[in-house]
Amino acid sequence: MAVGSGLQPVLRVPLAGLLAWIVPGLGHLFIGERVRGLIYLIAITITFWGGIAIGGVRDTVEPRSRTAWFMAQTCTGVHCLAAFQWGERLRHNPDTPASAWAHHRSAETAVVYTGIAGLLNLLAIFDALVRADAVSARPRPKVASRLRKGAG
Amino acid sequence: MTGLLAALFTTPITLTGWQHALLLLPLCLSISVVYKTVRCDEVREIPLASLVLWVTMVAGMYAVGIGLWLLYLLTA
Repeated sequence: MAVGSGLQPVLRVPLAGLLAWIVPGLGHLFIGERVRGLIYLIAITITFWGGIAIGGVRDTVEPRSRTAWFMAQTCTGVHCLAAFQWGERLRHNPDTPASAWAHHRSAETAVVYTGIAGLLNLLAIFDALVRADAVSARPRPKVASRLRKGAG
Repeated sequence: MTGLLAALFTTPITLTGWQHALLLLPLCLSISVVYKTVRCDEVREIPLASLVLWVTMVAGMYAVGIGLWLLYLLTA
């Protein structure tokens, strides 16, 4: 039984969207779409952290030099926040070596990976909103059986 | 162990040549899986539909890449 199925649609729909943004896939798990939720969680998490592994956390989530990409990355919710905080800590640490231009192409690939992970989660957020709304549009079993009895 | 795991995300990978082209494969797989999870009505349809889309995307993008590379060689 889905946690969100007992809620009113006016609460369930925005809550599903918010949860889908905070943790990819959580909005679907909330409305009872367990398999879809797990697919989103695994696919988006691996894509985002795979990107971080390619380019390094220090330079991949960087809002000052890559603002548009950062906006896309923020769609991954906690993943982006964690990577940003970790990167900020490394950027302000004097012991961390400055980013090498030798890794420039890796950094570009990493930004594309993490940005696309964010855009994919944006798609998943809209999907969670639509499916949460569709759950409320479905007739409840008791109502449906009452309607059948009335028609018979 | 924690330090090793942290080093995985703090040290950038140096990529050369074909390694960049190979990185297209997992990215396209992720895109195709998420897209087909949105589009498919039944969950059991997702694996096959994702695989077909992945092959189509990868073949199409490599074809475009090879085409542009040949065009570059001809015009250079």
